[in-house]
Amino acid sequence: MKHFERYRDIIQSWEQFIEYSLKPLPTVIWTNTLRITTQRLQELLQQDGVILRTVSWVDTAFRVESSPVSLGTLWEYWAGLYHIQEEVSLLPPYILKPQPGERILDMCAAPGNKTAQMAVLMENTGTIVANDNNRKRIGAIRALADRMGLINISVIVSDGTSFSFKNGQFDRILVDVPCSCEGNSRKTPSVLEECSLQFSLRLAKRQTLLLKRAVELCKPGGIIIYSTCTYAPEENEGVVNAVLNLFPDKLEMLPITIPAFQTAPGLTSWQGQQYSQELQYSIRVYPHLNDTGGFYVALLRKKQ
Amino acid sequence: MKVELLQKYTECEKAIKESIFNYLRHRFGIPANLLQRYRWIYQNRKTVAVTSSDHDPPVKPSPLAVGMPALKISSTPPRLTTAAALFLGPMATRHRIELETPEQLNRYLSGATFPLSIAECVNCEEAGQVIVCYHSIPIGTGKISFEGSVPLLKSEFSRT
Repeated sequence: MKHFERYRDIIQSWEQFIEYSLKPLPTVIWTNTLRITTQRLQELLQQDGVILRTVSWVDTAFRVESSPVSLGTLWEYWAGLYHIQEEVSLLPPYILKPQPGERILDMCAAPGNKTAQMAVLMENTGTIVANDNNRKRIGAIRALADRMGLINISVIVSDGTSFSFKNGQFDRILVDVPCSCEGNSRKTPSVLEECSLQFSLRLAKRQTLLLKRAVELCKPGGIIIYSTCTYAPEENEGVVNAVLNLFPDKLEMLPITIPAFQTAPGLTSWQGQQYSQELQYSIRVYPHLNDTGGFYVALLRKKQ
Repeated sequence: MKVELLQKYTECEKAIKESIFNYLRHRFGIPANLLQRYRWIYQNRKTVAVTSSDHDPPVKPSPLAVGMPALKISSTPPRLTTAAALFLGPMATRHRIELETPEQLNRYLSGATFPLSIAECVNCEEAGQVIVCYHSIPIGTGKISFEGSVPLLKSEFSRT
């Protein structure tokens, strides 16, 4: 937890933050509504002895209160009726709100959890281009899409920072970038071993290039989500601020409201650096606010 | 089904689509008008994939996958993939087996071959591939045979 000391001044209720950062993470599943209703899924899982509680802010997801077996071994899982995913990582697709028939780019898609969530929100129509630069992780996207019966996804391997313009422009783009993963420490405490300011600064260069390319690939009027699972401002507000400066007349930030979910506003300054005031529209999620992992989300619109 | 000329991710020719639709109607009772809602494309020489009708795949680089692999057309008769069985299963009315007990489910999930009652095979007239369901929900494919005194279901359950 020593690593988090540098965030002491920006996180309210510091002791609670530390307390929750040490707790195990609740298991969450979301319903594949293309196949089953949430009510029917709950009934079936109850028959298997699984006790569920609806997630307060998204009515198709459940927290698993208790289960006699691993959720990944039940027949309902193999039938593609649900998927297991960390609650906080449900945020980006929920905020992006992909619509049926739209053309969506998921720039750093592997292992495909958010891709699948978006495909369901789009009612299995339109186009999701699921891109990742790591060929070894692509198999996970395909396996998940096949299990869930998702037919609106194309999978490609390319470096997102140079994603080809030949693929046209997109209505909405998810830029869920590779990051230092500090917010995953409840699930994987060892992630903190690698974290350092130098590591974050190195990642921020690539994150900035990814978000810059996303702006170039987005249709005028289109929406972009930038998200990470880290607290480091260098990888969050610092990156968004840099890209806002690259496109001063083309981008605007939009406020994010999630009923029944607690968030903290994005930072407008950090260690002597001033960021755009718009950054307060982005959201920070800390473990103690909703008993989840940590996350950061910024919602941007490319102006007409 | 023999594919003479193949270009990856191109739409299947009308004759190939008709032959796929005929097979799925004959074998599984799935009406062609439901299948026509989707695009049917070649994933490779052996497999046809299904996508949403308005799907517009990227061009560069060439995709590693477009839509969902649906049918192995290299085998005779064609074979549904597990993914397609889960996807098309709710539309199927023939060669669809309903497992009735948790014991049968466990045997299916463990990849076993096990006997079925005549009542469980009421919509199965021919040996070969069937869609296997539990609680009326498709969970995969199996192979039914009528060689002995009771029908046998060979599980083709796949976790991939």
